[in-house]
Amino acid sequence: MTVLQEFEKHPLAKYLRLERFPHIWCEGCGDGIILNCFVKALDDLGINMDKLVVVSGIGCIGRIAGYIKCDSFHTTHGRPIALATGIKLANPKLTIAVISGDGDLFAIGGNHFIHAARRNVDMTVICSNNFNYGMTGGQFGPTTPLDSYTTTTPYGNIEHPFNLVHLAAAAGAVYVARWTALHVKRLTESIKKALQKKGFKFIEVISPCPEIYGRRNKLGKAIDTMKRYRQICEIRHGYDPAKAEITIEKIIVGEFIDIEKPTYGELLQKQFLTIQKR
Amino acid sequence: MESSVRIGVYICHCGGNISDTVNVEKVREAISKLEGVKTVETVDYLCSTQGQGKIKSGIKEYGINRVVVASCSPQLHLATFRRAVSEAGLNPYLLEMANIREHCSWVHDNIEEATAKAIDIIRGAVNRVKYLEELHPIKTKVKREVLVIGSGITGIQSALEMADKGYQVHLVERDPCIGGHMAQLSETFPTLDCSYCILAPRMVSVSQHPKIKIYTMAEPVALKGVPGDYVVTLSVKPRFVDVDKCTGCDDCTDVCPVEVPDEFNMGLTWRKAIYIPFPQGVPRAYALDLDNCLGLEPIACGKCMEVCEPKAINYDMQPEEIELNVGAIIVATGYDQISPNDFGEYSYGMHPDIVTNLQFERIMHFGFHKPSDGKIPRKVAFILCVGSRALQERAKEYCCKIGCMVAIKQAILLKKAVPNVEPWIFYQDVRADGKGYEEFYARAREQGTRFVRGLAAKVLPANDGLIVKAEDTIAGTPVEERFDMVVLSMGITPRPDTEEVSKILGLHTGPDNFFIEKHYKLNPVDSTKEGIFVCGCALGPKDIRESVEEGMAAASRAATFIGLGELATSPEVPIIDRAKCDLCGECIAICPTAAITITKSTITVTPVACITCGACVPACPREAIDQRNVTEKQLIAQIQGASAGETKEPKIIAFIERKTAYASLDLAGTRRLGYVANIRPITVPSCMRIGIKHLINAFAYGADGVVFVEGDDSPFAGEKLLKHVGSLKKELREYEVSPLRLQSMTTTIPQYDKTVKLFETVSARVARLGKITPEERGKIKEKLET
Amino acid sequence: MSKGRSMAPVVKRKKLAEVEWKVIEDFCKGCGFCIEFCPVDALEESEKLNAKGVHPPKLKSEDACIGCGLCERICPDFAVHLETKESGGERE
Repeated sequence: MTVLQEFEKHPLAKYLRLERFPHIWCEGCGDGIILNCFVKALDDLGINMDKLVVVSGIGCIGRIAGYIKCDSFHTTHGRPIALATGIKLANPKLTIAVISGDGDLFAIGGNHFIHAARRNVDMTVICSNNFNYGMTGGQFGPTTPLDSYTTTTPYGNIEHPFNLVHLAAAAGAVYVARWTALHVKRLTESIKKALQKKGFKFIEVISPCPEIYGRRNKLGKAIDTMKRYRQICEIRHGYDPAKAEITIEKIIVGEFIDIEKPTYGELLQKQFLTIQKR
Repeated sequence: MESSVRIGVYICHCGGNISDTVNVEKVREAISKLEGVKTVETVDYLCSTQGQGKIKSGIKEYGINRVVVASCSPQLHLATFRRAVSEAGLNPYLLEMANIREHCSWVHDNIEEATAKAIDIIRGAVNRVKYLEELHPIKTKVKREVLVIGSGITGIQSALEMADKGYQVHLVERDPCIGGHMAQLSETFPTLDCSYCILAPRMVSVSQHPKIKIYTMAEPVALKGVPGDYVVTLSVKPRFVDVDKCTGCDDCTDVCPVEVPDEFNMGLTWRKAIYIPFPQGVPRAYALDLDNCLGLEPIACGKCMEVCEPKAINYDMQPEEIELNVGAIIVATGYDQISPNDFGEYSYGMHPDIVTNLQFERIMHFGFHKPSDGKIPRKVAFILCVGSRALQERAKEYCCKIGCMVAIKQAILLKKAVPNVEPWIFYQDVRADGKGYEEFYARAREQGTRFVRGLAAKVLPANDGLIVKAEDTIAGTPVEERFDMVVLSMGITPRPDTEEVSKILGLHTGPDNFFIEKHYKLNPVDSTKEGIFVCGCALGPKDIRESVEEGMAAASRAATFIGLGELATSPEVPIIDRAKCDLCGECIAICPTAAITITKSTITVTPVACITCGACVPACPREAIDQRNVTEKQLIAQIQGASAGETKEPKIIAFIERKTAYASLDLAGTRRLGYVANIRPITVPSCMRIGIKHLINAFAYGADGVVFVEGDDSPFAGEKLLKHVGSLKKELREYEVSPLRLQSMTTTIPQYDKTVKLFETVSARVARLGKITPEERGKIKEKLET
Repeated sequence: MSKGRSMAPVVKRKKLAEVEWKVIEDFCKGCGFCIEFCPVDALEESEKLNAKGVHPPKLKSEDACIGCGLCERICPDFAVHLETKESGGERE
């Protein structure tokens, strides 16, 4: 049997573009797990793949659009949310998932993020947070922890990082959760919940980046990082995202926000009708 | 001393008990000359209504505001006379009793010596009363809530009693369900009630009672506060199942892939990692056994949550800590059994049909089938006393109390279910001492249970069953029989967490590791700590009836303790002069009950925790502490008063600890055990109250020797007291007083002869040293005044 | 509780579903997640080397796997998966 034939027997094969595998991600990279969990969530929900759109940006995680067998967009740096907003407005019946990285979504794409959240545009945003710009060699970004080493902070990072869940909640997201690549079942459930909800949903997934960020900061191999997640993570549903810090000793994970709010699309539609009646 | 002090002294004849030996008239004459004394009367029986009336009228007539009653021991009549002066409008703490009967007239023959002693004692009392102050018992509010630890039948009974009395009850159980061992039993002896059937209604009452809150998967981990106002921290383990949502549908156990030996069925069957201990468990909610579940970090399996329709399963439940504020605590943590693994001669574990008596209870529940092949046994051996009544390290010395009756019951039930079965019971003694027990034993014999007096030596698995080797000690012949099943009666121990619980709550356990009660006969369910009560098998092996009795008793005691809503504690507490105090902490170091604390650089005394021993007073290097009702002024005045008065023989001041040592000395009096008459007893809360200042006052004002008599049960008995006396002896040298003039001992109530012997010894020793000369005394007095 | 020197295993585990454990060996990058996190410790590194020069995982014994599916989910490379015994491919 060829590798492809073997792969066809994988239970999730029908959701993937098999010819593009094996994927480019490193040994133990969290992106592979995010793809795995996302696709399992699609399977569990029995989602209509013709109504799903995946949009990604620039970064290792940006490759994900190429691996999922649906209409997908691999866009320019920082712009997946802008594109996703356009797609959703053009065809509101589509389910949109934006899957991108910490630098793409929160540095160059930061402004798109906060406004899409504020407007409550109906989309699910999954951020693979590996604390650096991995694809381009390992530069520091808006989530790089203080004092960490990257190619552009050889003496230690002097910038305070964002608390992504706090930012998302403050901007107005209706569902905010944080998991790590270790929490595969809980992450899958979170993705399912988010896909079924209306509004702007945000899931932060803390991922190992063994070859770049991990190596530079002497964190060992990916397996060591995963074991570390098991040791230091604490699950606290409903925790105040402002206080849900990520430190060397503790990572607070869980579902922090789960509320209902009218979406941008709903309000827009409502207003159309009101205007038309006049 | 107030110039307005008007002292009335009343001397009792006691119908001759005093007046036959002590010349009360002479005493009256001598005492009436003392400063401040307005009236001295001798009365025939002071404790009688007329006697008391004399005191009351005297108070009114002479404007008396301090009373000395010279009569019998205050341990008999202090309350009587306090009430009498109260009725006459005087604060009861303005009364002092001088014991001239048990400590004087009953132990001395020589009238002259006895009279001189009585005068000294009363003079001391008169000096003391000059400085007495009006005092009232300190009232502290108590919480009208109670914590019950352990939810077996004993805990359940206690909880129901307290709740029905109207108190809020917090019932804590470390397992997922309440019920304890009684839920595992088949039928109870001797009535053969179905155990679960009589337990279940109480379990349901507890779960539905509006005044009972149940905490399962919980245990106490810390205790703070004082009796009447305890703060207990509970640690609650996550159950991973929402008790309110779980419907007990059992869908989760169907899909769980993990099976472990079922604890409720004593390892005879299997349960899943998600389980309910028994189908009728209260609360009716399942629990996830995290140690055996495939894992939640990350979730490995997750099938139970998938199939749970009411969505009761939550893998993200966290451990919790809960603080409870209660007035009293009832400990009912129950029992465990010794492991049969330590008894290799019975081959437990080598054959599935060798079981313990608790396992047999479960076997009976499932229909008397043998674990090996499911067939009904024809011949069953019950071996009693496995691990009980033996001096070996692997065993317990004490009788398990229930083994005989359990075996008899099991034999009777076996015979009822399997009419042609042959039960044999191998025993040492058959202990059937309860109500209906002897008749129950007779019934077993009538039905055909065979009793062999001789414990089994060996049990050996054989091809077609089990061989039991024993000796019939009545017939004097060896016994070797083949059986289908062997049931071992295992020794009873306290639960393994008893030690931990005792440490957390500050309770004592005995050499058998069960909790010990405050007094074996008279306080059987009080623990050694105020406000905490213990009952049931936590105190020692017993059957269900006795457990229920103790549960009820503990509830009664707890209700007495917190019932009035407030506790009255002794006002004899230390008072700290904050101006002199420099927060050095010496008082805190010596306090045995942590009644003195420093919070935010303020020093505080907690009256309800204080045992009023007074040890803190001499421990303070700045002399910043005094003690109410045992003030420095009062004590020194009394010492000076008792030391004065010429005697031929050297005079010995004996400081007597007021509870045990005092009772011991009283007992010497009751027994009329005579001893040297040159002893002058002064009552102190503890001998630790006495410092160098008091000793020097004694020597300066007439004493030639000092003796400490402390109760053996004092928190200071032993090292602490020896250290204190050692340092006092050193300090005596600085005053040029021989340290041999100070002696100390501890005693118990029955050892009154030992106490008396010490007096003789010290008296002789001081006699050898000789009386302190007037010049020496002058020097000591000088040093004292500088 | 007196467990005794029992003759039975202390914990029994049975299979969750009729599935067969499979690995696409050439996809494996040797991260070791499946081996580390398997709740019943059913996996170990095999002796052979795949195309990437790493040792892919293998079952310690045929009935070691209970079919919980954690390895399938945590494998970043879609190498490890469970197939239903009859057809192989999609499962319920």
